[in-house]
Order: sequence, then C-alpha cells, then structure tokens
Amino acid sequence: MTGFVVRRVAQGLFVVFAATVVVFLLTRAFTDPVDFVLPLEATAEERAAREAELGFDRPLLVQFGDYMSDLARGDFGESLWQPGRSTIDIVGQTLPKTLLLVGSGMFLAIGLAIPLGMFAALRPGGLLDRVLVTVSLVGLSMPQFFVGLLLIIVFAVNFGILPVGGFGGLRHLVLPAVALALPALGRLTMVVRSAMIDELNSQYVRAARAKGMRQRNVVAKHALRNAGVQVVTLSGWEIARALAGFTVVVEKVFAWPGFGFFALEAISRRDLFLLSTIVLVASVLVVAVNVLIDIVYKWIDPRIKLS
Amino acid sequence: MSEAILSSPTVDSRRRKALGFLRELWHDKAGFLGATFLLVLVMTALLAPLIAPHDPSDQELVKRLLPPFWEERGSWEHPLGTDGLGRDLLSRLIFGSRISLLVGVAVVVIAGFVGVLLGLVAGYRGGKIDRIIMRTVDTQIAFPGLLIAILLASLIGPSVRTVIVVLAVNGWMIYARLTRGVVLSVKETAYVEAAEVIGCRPQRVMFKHILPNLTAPLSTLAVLEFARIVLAEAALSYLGVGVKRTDISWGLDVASGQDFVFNSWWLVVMPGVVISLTVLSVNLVASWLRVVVDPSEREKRHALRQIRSLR
Repeated sequence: MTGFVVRRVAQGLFVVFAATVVVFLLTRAFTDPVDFVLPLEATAEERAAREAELGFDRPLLVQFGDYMSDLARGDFGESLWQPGRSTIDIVGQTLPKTLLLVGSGMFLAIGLAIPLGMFAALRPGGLLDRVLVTVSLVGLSMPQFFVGLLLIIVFAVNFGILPVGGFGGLRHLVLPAVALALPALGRLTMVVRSAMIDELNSQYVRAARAKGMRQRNVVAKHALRNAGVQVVTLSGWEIARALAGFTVVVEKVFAWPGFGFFALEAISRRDLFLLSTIVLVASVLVVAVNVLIDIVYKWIDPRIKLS
Repeated sequence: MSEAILSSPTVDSRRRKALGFLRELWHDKAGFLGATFLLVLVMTALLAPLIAPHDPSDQELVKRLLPPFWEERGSWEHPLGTDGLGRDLLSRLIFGSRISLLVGVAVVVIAGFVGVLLGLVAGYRGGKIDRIIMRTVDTQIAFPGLLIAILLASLIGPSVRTVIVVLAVNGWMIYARLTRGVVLSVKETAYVEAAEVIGCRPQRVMFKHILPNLTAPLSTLAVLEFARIVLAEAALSYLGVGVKRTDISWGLDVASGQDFVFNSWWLVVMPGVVISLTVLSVNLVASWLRVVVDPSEREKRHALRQIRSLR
C-alpha cells in the first residue's frame, strides 16, 4: 500500500510539472504574450517597451529557467491588474470561496444521488425509475449556465426569495451550489442506479436472499457496499470536473468571487500572470483529487492494481 | 447459397439494410424524435438565410426588448421578440445553429482523426511509441480541461477557429484510449495473426483488419462527444472567450440576455432551451445507436424477436 501511494503521488507530481511546462509554453512560445497584455491599438514602441519590461524579449530557455526557479521558490509573479500584489495572494483569497461552493455543491450531488439511484435500482422500469432516468437525461443535456439562470429566473426574479448572486451568507450560497450540483446529480444518479442493478442481479445477492436475509440488509450491507467502489470513483471525477471548469461557469452566472470568476476577470483586465497562476493552482487541486480517489479506491478494493 | 454470401452487397440488399435501419429507428420512439429534431436543425442551418424572417444582425433600437408574440406587447413581426439591441431573436436562433453544428462536426472530425490514428499506432506498434502516446493521454486527461481551454482561447483571441482548435486539442485523448483498447483486444485474434502471417503490411492490417472493429464503439463515442462539444462551445461563448462578439452563437445570446433577466426572461430561456434540445436529441440518438450498432446487442434483440414470433 505504501509503495502504491508513493508511486501514485510521484505520478501526480509529474502531471503538475507537465502542467506548468504546458502553461509556460502556451503563454510564451505558442502565442505572443504581449498581444494578451496590451490592447490591439498599442503602437510598436509601446509593445517593445512592455516586452522588455516583462522580460519576454529574452531567449525562451532563459525565461523558462527563471519561471521554474521562481515557482520553486513560491514566487508566482506580480499581478498586472493589481500592481504590487502577488498573484498567489489573490488566488489565496479566492480559493476558499471556490472550495466552499464546490464542496457544498458536490456534497448535495453525492448525498442525493446515492439514495435516489438506490431506490431507482430497486425497481428498474418502475415509476420512480422512469421519472429519474428521464429527469437525469434532460438535466445532463442542459448547459450548466442555463441551469443556473433558470434557478435565478424562478427563485430570484419570480419569487424573489433568494439573491441573484454575489457573496454573502448562506442565502447567497444556495442557488450556485444547487446549479453546480444538478447536472452532477443527474450523472451520478445514473451511475449509482446501474451499479446497484448489476449488484442486485449478482449471485451473492441471490444467495443472501435465498438464506432469508431481509431486503434492507441485502441492499445496505451487500449490494450498496460493492456498488460503492464505482460510486466513489465517479464522485471523485465529478469533484475534479467541477474544479477543472464547471465552477468557472457557475461563478460567472452568480458573480461568485471564487478563482473561476477571477480567471475571467484576469482575462478582461489582461492580467496574464494571474490567469496562469489560477490555472496552475487548479491543476494542483485536480491532480490532488485524482490521486486521492485512486488511493481511496485501492484502499476499499484491494484487488485493484496500479496501471 | 455460398455464392450469395461471397458476392459483394448489391444495391438491393443495401437498400433493404437502410430500410431496416430506418424501421429500427422508428421503433425507438425517443431516438426517432431526436433524429427528427437534428434533421430539422441541419436543414435550418443550411437554409438559414431563406427561413429567417429578419437579418440576425439588424439593430432596431426603437423595437428593443419586444416580448414573444403571445405576450401582450408581442407581435408576429418578431415571433420570439427582440434582444437588447432590437435584433430579432428567432432569426438569431436560426443562424446560431450554424456555429453549434459547425464546431461540433469539425471538432469531432479533427479530434477523432488524430485520436484514432494515435490510438491505432499505440496499440498496434506497442513498445516505446505506445508508452509515449499513452503517457501523454494520461497526463492531459489529468489537466483541468476547461480552464486550459479558457487560457488557450483567450491567448489566441476569440473566433470560431479558436473554439475548434481549443476543443480539438482538449478532446482527442478519449478516442486514442478507446481505439488502443480495441486494438489490443483484436490484435491477438486468429484473423489478424493470419493476415500478418501471409505478409500483409502493417498499414493494411491496421486499416483493413483492425479498424472495422472500431465502427461500433467509435460511432457511439463520436455522437456522445458531439453533444459534449456543443455544450462546451456554448460554455466558452457564454464566458466570452469563444466566438467573436459579432458572431451569432446561442451561448453568446444567453450571455447578453443575462443583463435583462429581470424583465425579459425569454432572451435567456429561448437560446438555453434550443441548446438543451439539441444536446438532448443527440443523446437520444446516441443511446439508440449504441443498441443498434453493437453486434452483441443486435444478437440479443434478434433472439428476443425470434422467441416472440414463436409464441
């Protein structure tokens, strides 16, 4: 187990390293960073001056060396939008808000998907099952921002019971968290349902039933536990996907000041360094979640090998 | 008997096959509805200039924010109302289908081509090439996809081409993984070995003997990916890093409609509903396709029908 954890963490670190290289290449080599930093109407002199000031005129390898050694020392560069502030400082301020949003959204999705999928699986083809399958399919066909805007139209505009957006108390958290949760809830419910149907049709469940075990125990002690292996992986996947991008969309819909909202803000303020830092921090988070899932997966199901 | 099997498919048998396909589509009501909607959508995109009642970019500030026809101030001149700049919403929805379909098809074709090719090479050659390709796939899958897409798109600058490039760069891995898996399982079969023994060149084995096995899983994957891409294009355009401000895209219309959400809900709801219906239709077609193209599913259904006819 220890060997597995060490190898998996090493793999994760490799991915983080690869992500930093990709971000460097994307921002320095494949595109001209000055295009991003300066408005279109900038003159050639302005461009040259800015290029020299930000060090983009040096050879690529020198820039790369500086970039990596700065990162290694924890120096993520200074924000262009808010001069004098380091970008990691801004990310540090926004990150807890994103984690709060993703955390509560995913808590809702996973917490509801397990009972819903389980009850649907108890009677495949029954009324509850058919309703859930249809609603899930419709739900996961809707763009995330549309789900959020529909919630705004119904609960903020028509009923006026919840705020349209912004950051504040619990009331501000409800709609964004639900908007983030709903599509994930649809996908997860379908996963729990099919995993449970498979388990309930297996030999060991029949054996448990044949010896007269009560339905509640068959479902909870046997089937749910084994279906759990798949459910854990896909729940982790949903968390990673939320952090990797869905949260950006939801934060924009509700003007929730997390790192996704600031990534879009960085684009409109032409702050290349803040945007790269946000992408790097998000990469670390996504990789950490992936590594964690694999370790948990291995821990609950010792048959799995690292491949 | 054996002659009939050996001869190449005639026009007649092909027509029968196509008819059988259509009949199966008719039996799956949800899949049929989805396919019909998509067919209508494709026609709309092709004939947009003929169908649209107005020029989608024409601004008439006097007539801004008109509601749909069933509301009190609505009129048939603008059936679904007008947006904040007085542009006809229905015409914008009609023209918006073009970008969604174009981006979807282009990304699926490009990413699919690259992914399948690399997957074939990785699976068939094995060894060092396989390790390099698959390590790249694993690493890129672990990246925060949408955030990297946003970074790349904002660096290149908004345009339809940017969206296609960004989404294709982000989407080829899944094809490579699927292709490699199938290749590995097919490579050991007797007929591939036979082809190698009689001296077929690697290209011939790859494309003539192994590739046909991929038709079923790849077609379903491509359709599902198409749905995902339509959603991703809408998301990028909604966030303002996708297509140009002057382009006509459903995601862009939702973003500009959000400013008027308090009084003019239709500006957000109409394009949102159109995106959702498109993606839903594609998903319905995908689930029908999965059953139809999978040989083992076909066998199951054939057996069921035989049993039923015997009773």
